[in-house]
Amino acid sequence: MTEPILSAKNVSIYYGQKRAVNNVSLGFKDKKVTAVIGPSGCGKSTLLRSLNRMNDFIPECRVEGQILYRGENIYKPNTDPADVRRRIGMVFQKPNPFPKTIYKNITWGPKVNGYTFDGDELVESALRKAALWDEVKDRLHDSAFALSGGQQQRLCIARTIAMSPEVILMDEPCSALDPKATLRIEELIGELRENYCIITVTHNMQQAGRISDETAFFYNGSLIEFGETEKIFTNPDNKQTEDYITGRFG
Amino acid sequence: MNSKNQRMQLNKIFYWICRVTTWASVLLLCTLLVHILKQGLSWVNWEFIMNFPSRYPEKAGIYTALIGSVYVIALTAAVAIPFGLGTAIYLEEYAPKKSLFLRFVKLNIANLAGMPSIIYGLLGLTLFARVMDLGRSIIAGSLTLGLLVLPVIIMASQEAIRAVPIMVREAGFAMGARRYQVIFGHVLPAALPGIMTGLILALSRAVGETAPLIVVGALSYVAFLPENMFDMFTVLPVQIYNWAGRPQPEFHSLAAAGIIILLLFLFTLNSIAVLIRAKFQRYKL
Repeated sequence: MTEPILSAKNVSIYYGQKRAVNNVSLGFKDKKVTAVIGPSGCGKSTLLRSLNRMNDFIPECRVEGQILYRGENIYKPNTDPADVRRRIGMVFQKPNPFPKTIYKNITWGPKVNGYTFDGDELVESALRKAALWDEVKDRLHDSAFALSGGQQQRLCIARTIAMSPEVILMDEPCSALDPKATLRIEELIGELRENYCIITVTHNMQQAGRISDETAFFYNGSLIEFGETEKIFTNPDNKQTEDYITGRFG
Repeated sequence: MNSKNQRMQLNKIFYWICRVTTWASVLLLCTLLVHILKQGLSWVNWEFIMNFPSRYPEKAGIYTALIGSVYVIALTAAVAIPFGLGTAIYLEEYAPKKSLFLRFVKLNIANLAGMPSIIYGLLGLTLFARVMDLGRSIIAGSLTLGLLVLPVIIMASQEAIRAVPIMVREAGFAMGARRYQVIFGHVLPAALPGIMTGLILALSRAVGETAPLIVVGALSYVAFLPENMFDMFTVLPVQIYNWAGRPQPEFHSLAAAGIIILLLFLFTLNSIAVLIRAKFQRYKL
């Protein structure tokens, strides 16, 4: 068994008085895709956002327990959250490219972090890895908003890759896309698995089954079951998991 | 519920109310404009623009007032825009959202925006002209006008910044950017069209303000051009006010001519702002 690169240890997350995530412990392995599934409001997005401290911007949100990245607690005082986000990138539910050119969408992140890089080189390699290069290579200096929704989302993945993170968090990356664009993203996730630890939240059961190596099922803020996707989908230990996966509720 | 027919009737009535109110305002403005053009247009010529004020209406011009207005507005913008934008950014991006004190501050900014301008004039007279001993100078007038438009600039900028979707900020933060980088890289460019609209409104108001500048001591007869910001000055609306108050009908025509120049001045100012705004709207969200 490989050691997880990122893990949650007894993590509880509160919004004010309300507890959204309840004493969750699980580990995410490198070069694997982990799908986090569960009904709406079960705390899966909240947990995902706590993994790279995107919850810091929600004033009432409080995280208890530890999130360990390569053995270091990212909530330790004196930890620089920007540092964390550089290594643990995030792709959002709705494609949100910057209101800039395609080219600048890729270079903005490395630039503001003071990286030294060859812009053309970086743009091409990031776009290639995100399977977008061929579609946009002739219009790198057009606005990113000229792209279709699916292309925009791949651009968002490309700009995350450009930061050379180790972990990529995806918060329902396909929920705003049509089936064809969804398929492309799924294929892309399959390719990216070779180099990154990918954690994706999804509502789409079939998708979780198709793309992930491991699956975590959340219900009411608690982790109900966590294990290999194949096992979770064919022979879950827990009755609730089975009911959810077979579509009896949720 | 009303019947289908009634709803159709109501829709029609509402449509006409909206239409009539719109055209009523337009008509009123046109009447005003036509009146002024009729009275003043024959007086507007190059000499009128380039001449110094005079007690003979044929020789009187608006040059000093025009230059004074340009100076005063430039300086007002230089003072009010950094303070206004800085405050708006702090309140929206940095300040703790739940602070009672800051809520109180915000409420007061809204109140200040509605305060009569003459009160700002009295404040400017006391603070800038007397206490800071700036006298009847351009800088005293600009600081006063700056105070006057500051609340408007703050509120408009706040609105524009708040309207930038949270996901724009998140996208920046997720790349490991610092808050200032997110603000300058994404929030301000996205908010700029809204901020520009606020600035246009605020500065247009400053161009047309008369009362506070009279209180601070803008003179209506200035026979020389101001050379630096500590010189005496007059501005277009003060000059117009002065001419309009004279008994001779020729001066009333001069006032109308002055108004035409003031309108052109405002029009130019707004056009520049619209151009800047259009430039930044290229990448719409």
